[in-house]
Amino acid sequence: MNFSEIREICRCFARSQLSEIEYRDSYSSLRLLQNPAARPVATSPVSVTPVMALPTGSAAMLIKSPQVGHFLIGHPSKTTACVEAGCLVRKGDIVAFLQVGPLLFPVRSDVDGIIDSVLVEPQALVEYATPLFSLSESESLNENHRS
Amino acid sequence: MNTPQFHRMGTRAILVESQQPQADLRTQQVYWAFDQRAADLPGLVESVPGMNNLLLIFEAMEYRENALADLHHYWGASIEQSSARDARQITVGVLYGGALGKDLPILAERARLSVDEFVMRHAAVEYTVFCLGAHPGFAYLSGLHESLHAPRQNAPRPQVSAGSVAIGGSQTGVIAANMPSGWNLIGATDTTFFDHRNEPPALLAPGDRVRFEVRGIEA
Amino acid sequence: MIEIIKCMPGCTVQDAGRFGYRRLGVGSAGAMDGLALATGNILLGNDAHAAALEIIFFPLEIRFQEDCAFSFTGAGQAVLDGQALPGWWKGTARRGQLLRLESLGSGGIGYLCLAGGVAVETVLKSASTDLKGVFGGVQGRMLKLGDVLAVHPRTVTVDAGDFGAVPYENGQGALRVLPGFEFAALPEAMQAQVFSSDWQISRQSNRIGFLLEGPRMKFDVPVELLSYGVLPGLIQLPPSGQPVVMLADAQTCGGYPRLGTLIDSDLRRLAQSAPGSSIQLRICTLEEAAEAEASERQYLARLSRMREVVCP
Repeated sequence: MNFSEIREICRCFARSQLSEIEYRDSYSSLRLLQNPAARPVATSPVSVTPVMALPTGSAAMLIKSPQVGHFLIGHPSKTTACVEAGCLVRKGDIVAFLQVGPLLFPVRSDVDGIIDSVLVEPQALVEYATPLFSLSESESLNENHRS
Repeated sequence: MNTPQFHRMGTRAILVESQQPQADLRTQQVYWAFDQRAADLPGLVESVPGMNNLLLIFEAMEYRENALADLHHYWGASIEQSSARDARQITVGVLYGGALGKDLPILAERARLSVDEFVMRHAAVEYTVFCLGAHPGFAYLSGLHESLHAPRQNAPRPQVSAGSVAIGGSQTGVIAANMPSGWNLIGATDTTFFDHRNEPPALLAPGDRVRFEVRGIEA
Repeated sequence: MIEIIKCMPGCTVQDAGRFGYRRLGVGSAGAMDGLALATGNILLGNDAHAAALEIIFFPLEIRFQEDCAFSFTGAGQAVLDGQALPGWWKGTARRGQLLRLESLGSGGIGYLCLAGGVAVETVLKSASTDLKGVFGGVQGRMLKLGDVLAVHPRTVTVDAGDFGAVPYENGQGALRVLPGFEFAALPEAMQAQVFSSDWQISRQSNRIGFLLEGPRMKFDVPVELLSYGVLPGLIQLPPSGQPVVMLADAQTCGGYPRLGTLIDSDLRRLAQSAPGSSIQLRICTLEEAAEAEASERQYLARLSRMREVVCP
């Protein structure tokens, strides 16, 4: 079972009405649970850094992690972050990276908006659907844009 | 025969080298034999004969280090087994002088010879190919008569035509590619010395005997 | 299929190099930064040695004539239809899109790899361009406006979207040299100077060699040598007194005195340094040199394994 497959199963499961599934093959097993109180869990020996408190307020939008990985706020070859609080982002913009060993995967915004806050620490190990950024709706088109 | 020096080059190569004022044929024959024996060395990927030397390139450092222990023995065996090669004879037709041999008159004058005499001395010798190098198909020839030696130009010409017959210091050869060169140009040939489509791609090989044939002299 | 829309001199097709023909006077050619080439190829699932475009002077602009996955590694930045991509990245282009590769201001060499590898005629077992011999690559020459390049066909593997590599950690500091040959014949004060001076990279540097400008080095007694086999990395000292570090297109035989060899891992770093910038040199041991090579191999092996997991 590889990352693409795990990612796909998590995605489908999250969208489904199932409360629990379990998958086994000769190398691995995966057990997913969901209900309003719990989150999907992949079997893994590493512990997950707790997420910072989510902003309250019904207008809060979130960018969630598309997969497991270590959260990087900027590309390793650059000293600057992809985005910071106050940045305007467009749907599809890369806002962060997830490092898995020597590979980097993009975290893309799935909405237009203004970044409110970064919700995880640099290098934190995050998993599928971990909230990474909170955003609010853009009020004007004259905000700082960084991509 | 003196023991050569064994120099490490980088992490994966050894240069076996007999430095002396002039390259000599007897020593070169030992290196040709060494080149053949070296093919047996574990981990050898390539060997490159030079003028009285041989570069051995290995796959990895450990093979190179292991080989160093055996090389004195290989050298000794090469001395025993070296001999004159069955030589091919190749004749290269040359138009001496003219636009492509523009340095011929100056060189003849410096040598205090007539142009015809200079050309005859150049064409009279049977040269031996010691090795190839510098550029694809270029043969290092030995045997140039001392009276024809001429130091390289002060600055290289930016572009010299392939087929240029030239003298550089104590050496003569045919430049096999269009390229910069500081050698003195004495003539031209239309013989092709390298074509990647041929097998083998190079016309000449170490041990070959080369004779220049006078097709004309334009002075 | 790609078409060159804008091109500076010095852009050539290179693979990892042409080996086995030094005895005919044919040098290795090949990518000056083999690690960047291999990374770019691995990201695409290509053979690590597959042919790519090496870009020395920016910008390069190409148009994709069909949908194509590509990667860009080394120096510079890739901009696809106006959208800047992260460095060391594998992207996907649609037919008709324009890719611009531009400098980020600090010099260096970039590599554009295409899924399947650039398809050119194999000459003497390699796709690399031999500029001296005028063969290999595209007719043995630099690329120019209007050139069209094809890729080797390949069955499409799992599409895992765009992703990249964490760039290899090069390390800062002085470039490592294994001294040897005539180094010990230099006056002692000069030997020390080699490793204590700032050496400026001459703007005359090119794929044949990098000229280092600094203190003039001279032997007490002139050294005359018989021509010997040369490898990239060898440091020669011509009569000018300024060292030259041999690179991918160096002649296979040389005649100048030698100071030693720049280790392969740092030869790459040298090639990636901008002409006009300064570098320092330091002595290293064989063990250090071997470790540096092993570390690079491990990086590429890990990258390859992870890539297999993501796109089986």
